[in-house]
Amino acid sequence: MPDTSNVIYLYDGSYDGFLCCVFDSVYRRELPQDILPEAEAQPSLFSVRYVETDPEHAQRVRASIPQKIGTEAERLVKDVFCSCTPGRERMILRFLLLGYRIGHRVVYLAGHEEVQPMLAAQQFLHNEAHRFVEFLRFSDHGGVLTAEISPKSFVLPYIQEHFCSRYAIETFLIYDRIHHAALIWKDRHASIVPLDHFQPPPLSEDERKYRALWQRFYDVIAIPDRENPRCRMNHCPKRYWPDMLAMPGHVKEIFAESPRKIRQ
Amino acid sequence: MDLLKKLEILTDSAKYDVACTSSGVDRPGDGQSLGSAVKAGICHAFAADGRCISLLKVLLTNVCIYNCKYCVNRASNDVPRAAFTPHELAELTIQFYRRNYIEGLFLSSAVIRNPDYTMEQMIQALELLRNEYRFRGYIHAKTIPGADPALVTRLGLLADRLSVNIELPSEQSLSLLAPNKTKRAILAPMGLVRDGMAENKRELAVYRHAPRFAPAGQSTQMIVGASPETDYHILRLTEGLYRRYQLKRVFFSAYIPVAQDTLLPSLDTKPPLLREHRLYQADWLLRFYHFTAGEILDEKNQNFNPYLDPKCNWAIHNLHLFPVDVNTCSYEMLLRVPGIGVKSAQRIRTARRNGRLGLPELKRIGVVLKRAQFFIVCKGFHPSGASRESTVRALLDPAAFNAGTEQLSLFSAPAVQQLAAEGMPLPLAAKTVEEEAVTCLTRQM
Repeated sequence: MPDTSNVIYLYDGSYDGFLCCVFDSVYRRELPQDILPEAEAQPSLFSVRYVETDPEHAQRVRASIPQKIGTEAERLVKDVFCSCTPGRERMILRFLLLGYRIGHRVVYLAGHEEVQPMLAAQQFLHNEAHRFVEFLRFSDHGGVLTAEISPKSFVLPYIQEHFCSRYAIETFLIYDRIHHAALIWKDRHASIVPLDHFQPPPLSEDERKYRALWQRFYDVIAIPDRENPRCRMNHCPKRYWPDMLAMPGHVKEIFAESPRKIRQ
Repeated sequence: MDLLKKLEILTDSAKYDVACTSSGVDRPGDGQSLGSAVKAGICHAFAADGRCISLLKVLLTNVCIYNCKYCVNRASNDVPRAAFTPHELAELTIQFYRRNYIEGLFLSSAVIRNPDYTMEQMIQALELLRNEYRFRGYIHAKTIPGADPALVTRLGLLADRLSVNIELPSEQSLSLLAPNKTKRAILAPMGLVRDGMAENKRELAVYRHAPRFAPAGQSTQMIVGASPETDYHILRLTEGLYRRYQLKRVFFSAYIPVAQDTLLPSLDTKPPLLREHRLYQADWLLRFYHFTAGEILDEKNQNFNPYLDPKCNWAIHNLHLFPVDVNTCSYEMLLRVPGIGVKSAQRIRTARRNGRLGLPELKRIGVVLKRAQFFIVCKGFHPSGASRESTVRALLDPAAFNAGTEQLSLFSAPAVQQLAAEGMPLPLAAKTVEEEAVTCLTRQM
């Protein structure tokens, strides 16, 4: 593996743009200090190089991964890219360089210092996606279901299959306020589109009724003699609460403390 | 009575049922109707007691002809009574389901008029949901002991999972506390469901569109702490149920006093949560760690050690089997090392095919070295004769000593609770009991 050189790569933030960084790194025989989307770049002492997104370069790297390292590695790389883990680009680059050297068995080295962070990031993404499958709440607006989420990772592609299969006969929209994107399922067709802003329509009488019923059910189902707030927080961390209906009392409480902390 | 009030009453009556799992069956959406099911199950919320809410858990009615002494719905208890109409229940389930509040319905019922009539009412509600609303989500239904076998079969064709509650761990306790139920009446439907599932398996092999009978299997639950059975007795019973009736799960519920009766523990008894927790840990050892009940407890040690989880307890009584080399030992042996769980064991199994593992690798894989270090050999590491005392200290279960809480935790060991009740400051009480436990366990080793 080449030594770290004093350069930072910037790219346009897309997956293709990142693949071009991999291309440049390999052919220039240098390991950059860091790889950043240009939107996140900050002035630094290192020299900065902007990597143009070249579809041809991207395609060559894209084809090389399943061929030289295997399809499992390809999935791992895509997952980690979607996980939005800080420093993920450099983590993936180092993983790929190791993979090009030793081949398909790289994904099985669960204890390796270059591989384990990748597996951990992938697990983080899958866990978070699963949490949204669990805790996402739809509201019914005259037959159209809408939900809003604030995930750390870009989870929409990972929850798409579950919701589209389960609610095949419905029409729904899931809005990701952090990544400004929405998953839309309409006329048996799913699409993930960029969306800057989403304001749900006012609640209908029926929607209020079912929210009240759910709230009552939630409050009554707990056994008071066994109250265990720690256990609840372990299973359902507080950052999911603002978008979950049944915990409004608690939500007010946390918001009074620090409104920013929850919404970030 | 309005729907909100009804829901409140019928949820309140159902909340002591433990099972709320939606696991055991994979059924993707068919594109034509609402719903799907996922094999691993999905929780949708966690209640204030930390238990998962996966299903809409309600009774069809809480009007009961029986008078089981431990039950809130017993005939002699003065509580408000209500009943859902099948239509109300179906509409509620569908509307909750559409909003992703729940994974499906858990339908149980008190016994109204007689067991057969009750079952017919339940079947009617589920038929409405499955056939008219074309609901493909998860349904867990409780069979009523003493009902006609034909009704159990019909219920099994509508529900994913069936359950019959064994209620108490022995026949004597049952006849004392639930005089209207008998062991036979409870085990008969369990056998029926098992045979129905076996027959269904043969049918499906011949014709894959055959209607499926209870595809997610059956489960049961029993109350712990209302009657004098030992942990060993309960664990043996559990093992027997898994083997003989192929149950998917056995649930335990720490007894919470809801009634004053000379035959029951007094009303101020604390629910034995630590004991329940240990039973679940042992249950996991039976189902995922290849343990047998006889290895976890035996005739001489009939009850769990409150200070150690059952796996650590087994390890310190079988020190002659350790240390094991993680790079060469069998998967089953890996599972028995304290600090290595199912996930780490699987990762070790894959990773060690591609090179020998040392401590840094094991740490990255997720092994808890604090506990595992006394029991393993790996690349560049050999346990260097740690004292028995430090081994015991590393294995003690912090939950038993009130770890991390300022108030007395419900999971604290009984000895800590007792000292605290006698007026000793809590941290001191925990420390005293911990020291005593260390001394005592070290001597036993």
